[in-house]
Amino acid sequence: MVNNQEREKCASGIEGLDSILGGGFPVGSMVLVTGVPGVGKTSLSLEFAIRGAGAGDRTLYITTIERPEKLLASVPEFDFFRQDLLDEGMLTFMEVPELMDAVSMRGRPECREDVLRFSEALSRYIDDNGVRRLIIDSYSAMFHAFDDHGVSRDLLLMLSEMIYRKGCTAMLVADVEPSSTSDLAITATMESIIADGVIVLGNHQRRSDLLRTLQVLKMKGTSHSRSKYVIDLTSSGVLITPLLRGGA
Amino acid sequence: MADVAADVGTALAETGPSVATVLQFPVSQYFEVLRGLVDFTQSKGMGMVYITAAVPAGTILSTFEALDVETVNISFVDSISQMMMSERDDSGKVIYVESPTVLENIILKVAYLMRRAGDKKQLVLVDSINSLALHNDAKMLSEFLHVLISSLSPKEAYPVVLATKESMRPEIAEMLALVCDQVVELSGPE
Repeated sequence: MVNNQEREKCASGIEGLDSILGGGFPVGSMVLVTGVPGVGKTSLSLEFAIRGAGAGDRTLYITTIERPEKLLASVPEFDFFRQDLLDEGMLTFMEVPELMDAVSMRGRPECREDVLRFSEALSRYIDDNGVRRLIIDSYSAMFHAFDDHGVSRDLLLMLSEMIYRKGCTAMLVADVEPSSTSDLAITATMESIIADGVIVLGNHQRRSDLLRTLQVLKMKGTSHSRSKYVIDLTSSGVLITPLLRGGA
Repeated sequence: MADVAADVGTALAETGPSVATVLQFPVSQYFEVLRGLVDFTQSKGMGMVYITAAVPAGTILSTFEALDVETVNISFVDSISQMMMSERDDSGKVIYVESPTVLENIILKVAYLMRRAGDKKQLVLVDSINSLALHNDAKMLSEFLHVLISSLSPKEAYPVVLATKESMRPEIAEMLALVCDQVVELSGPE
């Protein structure tokens, strides 16, 4: 159980992000990383996972779109990646059926019962393996077959309670459609209300230039910057600098 | 007769790292100033991150080769080639930024090269403020330099901004005096 009075920080290991967050995510937080496709959500999550495992936090990365082999093929490009993190079990990539020991499943839960089984299997795995960081990429894609949005929100509530109790810090990747609501309106969605933190990755148009941006809209339990930053996705990780305003 | 290249080295050696220095000179002395900067980094065993907004990095590299200037420790952030649709250099020494207006991306590419350089000290050269001023207003440039210089300070880098006398606008000169720590006037041979 996490002590609320002195909430320990889980440093993301992403230099600029930790300074925006005043040291990192409060341990036990469930953070939604959201944005349109191609803005760097998976890069940010991978860096959080790899740097966390490198710092000694056992990390589980659940993939729901790409196969783990495909994601793994891209990680050696990061100069902070170490193969021994995988070999020694500090960093594990897994698909939902593997976690649930249900190879017949087609990659994601298909009914409310599956969601409950997923939650139970995840809880067991975290306990059995001492997982300190959890990433689900993508959380929203897990539910694309569901018409009932209540199912994803129920799981979110269960996850929120579970990871807080276990002192695990989670990053859930949530895709939004390019035509969807504005960045600030994202905080009004039910998912964002349930989550402890919301990081929005997006694009900023300045004249004919398009900049990739990051903004922490919400992070319970810490005082953080709410400004917009420009990011670059490099082999050294996600680099962050303030968005210039030009006196505006 | 003034030795501009030697004057550049003397000015930087006197001030030390983390001091944002503007080198203001007649355009005729451009290559002498560059030679002075390269000589200074070599004498100190440093690397150089060369931000170019005036001339494509490939052209600068070719000129350096013609002048027998050593380029092994120089990396470029080229903000002009892509906008001008110039030929790309494939030596691995150049990182391209879309245009001189994406100043944040220039800062991020410098950060990337600084990270890659590890503990090796770097001189970060902005060539030139006049070229950047063609594409950005003074307020944007002052913010850009302020963020860039602040990010370099903990790394003990040498931030150097080139400014040619002939194309200096008063508001840019005023901005440089505000944001940078010192302005060194270099004159050519009489």
